[in-house]
Amino acid sequence: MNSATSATLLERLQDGADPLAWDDFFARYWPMIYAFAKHRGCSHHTAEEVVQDVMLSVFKHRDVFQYDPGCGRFRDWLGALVRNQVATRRRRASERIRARGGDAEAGLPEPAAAEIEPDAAWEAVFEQSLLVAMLDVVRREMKPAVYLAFELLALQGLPCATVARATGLSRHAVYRSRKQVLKRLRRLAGSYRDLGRLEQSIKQALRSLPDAALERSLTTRIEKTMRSR
Amino acid sequence: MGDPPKHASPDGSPVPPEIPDLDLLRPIGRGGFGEVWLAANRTTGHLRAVKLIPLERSGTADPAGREITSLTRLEANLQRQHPNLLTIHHVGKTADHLFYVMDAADDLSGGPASSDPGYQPATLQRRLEGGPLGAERCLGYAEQLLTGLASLHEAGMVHRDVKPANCLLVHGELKLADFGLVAEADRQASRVGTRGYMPPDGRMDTRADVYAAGLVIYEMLTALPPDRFPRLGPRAHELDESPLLGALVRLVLRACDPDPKRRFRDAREMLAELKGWELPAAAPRWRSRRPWILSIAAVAIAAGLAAIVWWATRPPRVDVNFLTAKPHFDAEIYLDDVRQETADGAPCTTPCTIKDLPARVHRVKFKREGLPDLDYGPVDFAQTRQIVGRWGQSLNSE
Repeated sequence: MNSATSATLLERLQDGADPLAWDDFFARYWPMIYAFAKHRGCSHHTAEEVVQDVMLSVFKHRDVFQYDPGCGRFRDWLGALVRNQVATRRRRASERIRARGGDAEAGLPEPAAAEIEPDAAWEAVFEQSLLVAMLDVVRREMKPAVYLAFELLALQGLPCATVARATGLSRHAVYRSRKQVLKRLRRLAGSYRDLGRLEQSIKQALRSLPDAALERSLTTRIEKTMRSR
Repeated sequence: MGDPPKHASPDGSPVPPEIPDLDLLRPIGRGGFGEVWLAANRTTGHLRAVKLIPLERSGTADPAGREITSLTRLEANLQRQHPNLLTIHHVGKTADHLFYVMDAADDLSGGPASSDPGYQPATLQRRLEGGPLGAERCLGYAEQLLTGLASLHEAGMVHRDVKPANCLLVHGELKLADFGLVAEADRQASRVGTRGYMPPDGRMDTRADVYAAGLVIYEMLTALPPDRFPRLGPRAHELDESPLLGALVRLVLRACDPDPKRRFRDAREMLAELKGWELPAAAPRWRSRRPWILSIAAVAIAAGLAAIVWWATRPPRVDVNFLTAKPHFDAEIYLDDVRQETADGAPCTTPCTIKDLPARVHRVKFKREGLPDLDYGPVDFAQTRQIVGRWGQSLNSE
């Protein structure tokens, strides 16, 4: 995400009547908010609540938040907000457990990778979402069968014969598709530091970020909440 | 029609408009241009769904006028109600609204429609919030959707708003609903519909309906939003075990090709492709063709292998000279009692060289008219390259 895009989107967000801006904002940021919350030890349910809290918080602050590239990156602002919401959720869970006479320290499990600082974890999640966004760009550029062949063969690890059957391509065309998509991805990745392991990095990103199937239920629930406010 | 309606009184509670013979119970959804209410017939108690469209124009938009045009068109072109199109029982007007009475969808739980406050009309969209459908169920719904859509296409119309929210489940059957954007297929239909379901080329013809139907089937398979097409998500790993899933994916890929010429021409053609699969064994057409292809390939491979083995293990080939000593030339040559002949069928006669003979032991004889047969005996061609027959003398070779 570049600054210009972010500024434009934030300007649109300030106009609460632009539902498409909220769709875009949600689509772009919910996976990383969810992934970060999970990474910090939240359950699926709590992670969903964090997504909802953050979305509502951004909505609430839309009038006062003025994007100023000179005052730091939007990613840092959002990261601080997300970390804050995760901490609040964890604190509340601990309080609930303490009120019931339980061990508050055992309230929520420790982050999956405790050695990684929250800032670094947020950066990692952000970077992974950039990789997936890059993959989305390529997906929209390529013929659907070519992209699907790449995803099934390279990212899902399915046998070439299965991929050929599902896409209607010849086996040769399946391998060619993988090559074609990877070539385009490498070009897009440019100076990405993990260039040599691009395929692995994308696989890792797809594994770490939440399953897109969650999106449908989450969108419906958050839309309802937003509308009720 | 997945959302609660806006139609409400100043105190916030929904106001039921007066509709002849029906009690409007509560709003159950909102379409593009109106609200949908659950209603009960005052005489029979039967539950129906009623769509209300305000007659009042909003700026240049005339939703009621557009709906009337579409419904009139539908009635004029469609000879009879189709089981996979939502039945419209009655169309009428109140002082403020155009209304039409339709079948009520099943409850989301799978039971019939009810006046219970917990009733939620079962649209495909709501059903997919619970996750993707099994391949068999998906095939059934796809067939029902395409059958309904094909009946519109056959009647010369296009739907222009095919999406999961407009697919209702009534008595377990999928029915295509919301005919507000129906247009004649031969006209230059304007680009209206729902974002995400319109094809990139922008032409809203039968191929555009095919594109949208493809995306609906894609959503049934994956429960992913249409803008994720063609990603399969975790479902991809079922491709190995489910040929039906693979066949459905292939169907969707063709229906949603960005190039309209490569898509199915209309829902009828897409339905014919789907029905061509050999069911109910859930085996798509390729499966029935595959054994033939496999058998032919296997025979070809076996023959090829046999040829290679034979070629590799066959004895080496040698050229051998055959002579008969003076004064008698022109004797015919027999190897293992078979007369040796040239390519044009003439006998090989001494003196001559016969090329490309297997380098193994052969029994050699010479025959000449007026002389007894000369049996030279067994000769190993791996050792001997020249044989000279002599009548009346002991046999030898050089």
